[in-house]
Amino acid sequence: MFNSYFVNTLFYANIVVLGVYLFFLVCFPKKRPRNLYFLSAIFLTILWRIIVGSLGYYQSRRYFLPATALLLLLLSGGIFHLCHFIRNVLLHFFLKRFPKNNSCGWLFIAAVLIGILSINLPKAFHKDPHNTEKKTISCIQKYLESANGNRTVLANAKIGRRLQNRIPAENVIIYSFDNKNDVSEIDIDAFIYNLALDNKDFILVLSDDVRQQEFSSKERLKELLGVFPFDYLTSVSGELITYSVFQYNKQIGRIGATETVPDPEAVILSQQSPSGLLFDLSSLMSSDEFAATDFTEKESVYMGTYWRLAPSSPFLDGKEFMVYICNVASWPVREYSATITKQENTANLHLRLKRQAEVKKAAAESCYYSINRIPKAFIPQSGGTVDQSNLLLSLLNSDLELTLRQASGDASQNGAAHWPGESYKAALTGSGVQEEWAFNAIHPRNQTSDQAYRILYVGCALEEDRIKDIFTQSVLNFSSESTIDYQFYPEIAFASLGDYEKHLEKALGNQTYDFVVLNIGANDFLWKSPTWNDFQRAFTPKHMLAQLFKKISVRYPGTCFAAVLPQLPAPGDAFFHQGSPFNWRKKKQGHHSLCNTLYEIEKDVNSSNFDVVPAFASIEKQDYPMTDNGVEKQYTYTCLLLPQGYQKVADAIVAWLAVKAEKDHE
Amino acid sequence: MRLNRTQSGICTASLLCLIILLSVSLRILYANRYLPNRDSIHYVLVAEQAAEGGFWDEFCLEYSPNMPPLLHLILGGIAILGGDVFFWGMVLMLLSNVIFIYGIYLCGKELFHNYPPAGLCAALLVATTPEFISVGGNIMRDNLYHCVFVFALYCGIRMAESKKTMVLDAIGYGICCTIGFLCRKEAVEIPAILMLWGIVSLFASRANFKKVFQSSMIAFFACLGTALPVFFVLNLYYPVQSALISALSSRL
Repeated sequence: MFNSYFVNTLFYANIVVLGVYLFFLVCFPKKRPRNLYFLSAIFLTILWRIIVGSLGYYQSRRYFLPATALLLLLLSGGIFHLCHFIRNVLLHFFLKRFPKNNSCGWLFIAAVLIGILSINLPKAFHKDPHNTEKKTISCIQKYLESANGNRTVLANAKIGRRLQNRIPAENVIIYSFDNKNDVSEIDIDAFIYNLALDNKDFILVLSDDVRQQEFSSKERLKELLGVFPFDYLTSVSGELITYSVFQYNKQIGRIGATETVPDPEAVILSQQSPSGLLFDLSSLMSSDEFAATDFTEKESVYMGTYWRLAPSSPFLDGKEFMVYICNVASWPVREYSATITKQENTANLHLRLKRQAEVKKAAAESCYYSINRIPKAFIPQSGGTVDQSNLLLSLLNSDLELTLRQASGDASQNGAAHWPGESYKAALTGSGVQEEWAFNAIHPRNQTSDQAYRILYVGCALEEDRIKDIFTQSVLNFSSESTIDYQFYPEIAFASLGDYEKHLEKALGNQTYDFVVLNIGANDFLWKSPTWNDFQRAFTPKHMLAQLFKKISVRYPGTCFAAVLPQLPAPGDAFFHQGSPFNWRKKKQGHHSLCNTLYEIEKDVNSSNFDVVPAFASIEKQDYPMTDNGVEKQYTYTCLLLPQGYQKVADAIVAWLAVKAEKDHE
Repeated sequence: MRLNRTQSGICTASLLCLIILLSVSLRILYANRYLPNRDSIHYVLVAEQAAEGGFWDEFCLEYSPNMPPLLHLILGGIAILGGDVFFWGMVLMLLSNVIFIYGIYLCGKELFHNYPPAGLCAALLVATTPEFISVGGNIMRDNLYHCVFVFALYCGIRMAESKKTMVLDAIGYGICCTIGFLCRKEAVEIPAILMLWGIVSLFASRANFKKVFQSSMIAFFACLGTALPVFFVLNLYYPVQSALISALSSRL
């Protein structure tokens, strides 16, 4: 990373000056900057950036700019030293005299500066196809406006940012090969598939070079998605690049919508109560919804479906405010504009529906799980269970939450602090998905085995003390003759996938194992890492992960591999902001994406020696360290389970092991 | 022709103004010519939510909760006041660039006593470096951070140069630590540099330990004095603890 920033023309021009200056510092130590603070600053800013950059954390050149500023400061002194040195040498050798004035020196300095500027300025404004020209943007704008019924979709075409800003409810994604951070080295079809999982509606604008070379395999996309998902719309030519504009077919994978339209206007008569006016809002909402307003007033209290307002409230004087009806996941689904008209002893609450989310009923066939592959759940014979919702949450696409997010009032402050998993489960149960959804429950026939197996468990070091003994005991209960090796990698290793691969290859080495358990996610450490919690950035490591698993399953044909699905993000994430589960949602989206990738890999590998094992599927709320009233403060960010939780995980893995052992035996 | 002190001062000030003008012009030209960075668009989108009341939620959804919030707060404030977030955001960025260039000039001037124009030279180099122009022509937290970083550097250089304790510089340094951390998490390097300077000074032959110790302590308390109120106020709305934990865990 550090190299890629400095390896350019500017670097070479600057490094010559800097090199001569450093030579100077060695030869004439009295000339060097003696400011210890400055030297410490240069040393530290460059050193830690190199270290962190080499670990793969920094993916942008911008992070190195403070270090660059320090180098340029040093360079400015160097230019003066260099110029004076050259001037003195020239004057001494050619004119046989030492200078009496500085005019020659100034000329040299000016020459060096002009030289640097002549490199810098063209470089800043050179024709870079990555920076799309205005003309192209203008063409795309015209097209998009015509496609949207001549509505103005770009508020300010001159600036161009609105292209990405004002497309109603859709994303516009523009790619060209020069946009190397995004697609140049990866499979464009797979990339589109991934986008289709994460963004349901979008316009894809591809430069022709991308389209011709990579986006030509319609058949492959058909195979991946069941149908070619794009309508080709038009081509837009700019001065440098021709773009092709595609509209993602919204019907693909869309969950069937059912709308419940309440009365557009409603009047609710208040009831008398000792401490104020009481409004019954039950007619506005169903039993699993709650109401919230856009103001906070100490005297106004929500009690179930009732809303109590103090007699002194300023809202009794006809001031307009908003009422939101939120679903169990705290998303506002309907937004009302409200006013209160006061009469003698009563008041009327006038509500006018302003916005309504398109509430969709999730249907089983529309859920993306393992690309039409029914997941397998390995259930121990000893009576373990699989919570269907946990599996469903991992694999269901994020439509449910995204479509409910039409208004984003401050509703979360008034919402009950649900454990987010529970909220989602409730939402799913209510939508009827859970009843329709299916998975393959596989039970081992035998609880024990006489065979001796060699087993390798690869997991995160964070869980070492917690799961090691439990897993060992579970395996020995199944097969007392078995031996288990453990390879634990540091929490950070999976974030930089290269390290994970190294750990895995080191553990496998030349050994011959019967079973290898790959536990890839220590939950929050997975989602906290910048590599994984950003969808676009996460694509490359997911691609690498697929290659890795394919490689090892082929290289070790006699070994059965289990890739354990990562557990759901820690429930405590929901509680950082007065019960708002936003952060949990974000992580859950990443989780969903990774889980689907693992099932994709399973399908691609298509080998009997590679399985995805949803070992965390039986984890429940009570398996996390928390009180009945919610998550304890100190556990807010934990991803670790209680021993009973790890026991369930170990049992599920051993169930897989028993099933595979039976097949091998047959 | 030799210039007297006044003439030299006027000449330097004029050149500095020209450099700043050049820097601003280049950044405006860049912003006008190219598409804004994706980050700029996200900042604007989140800030526009402030006017609709869902600022923090949108902020936390759009970004991880570990994002230092200063730029978002400023842009959100602009949105609440009804200003065009993109335009005023760009104005803010240009302003911080002007301060950054000026700070670089001061640092160069302070660092190379024997070569007074070195500060101007450094300012010119920074003003015309392509990557700085690209960042300066976008709404990005980096601009605010560069501005704070360079003033911390200036205070640090002055503290190191002086033979006695520079109280005002030390206080300025401490404040820069706090503001820097509100701009970018990388600002942990500002106090780290101070600590490294303290350690290096222990081994330097002519170091004034008393000065180093006093400067460090003043900077520490200035940082603490500004960070604590900010921490408690922000904590009402924003998971500051997680930002700190994340910053520390990712750096260590």
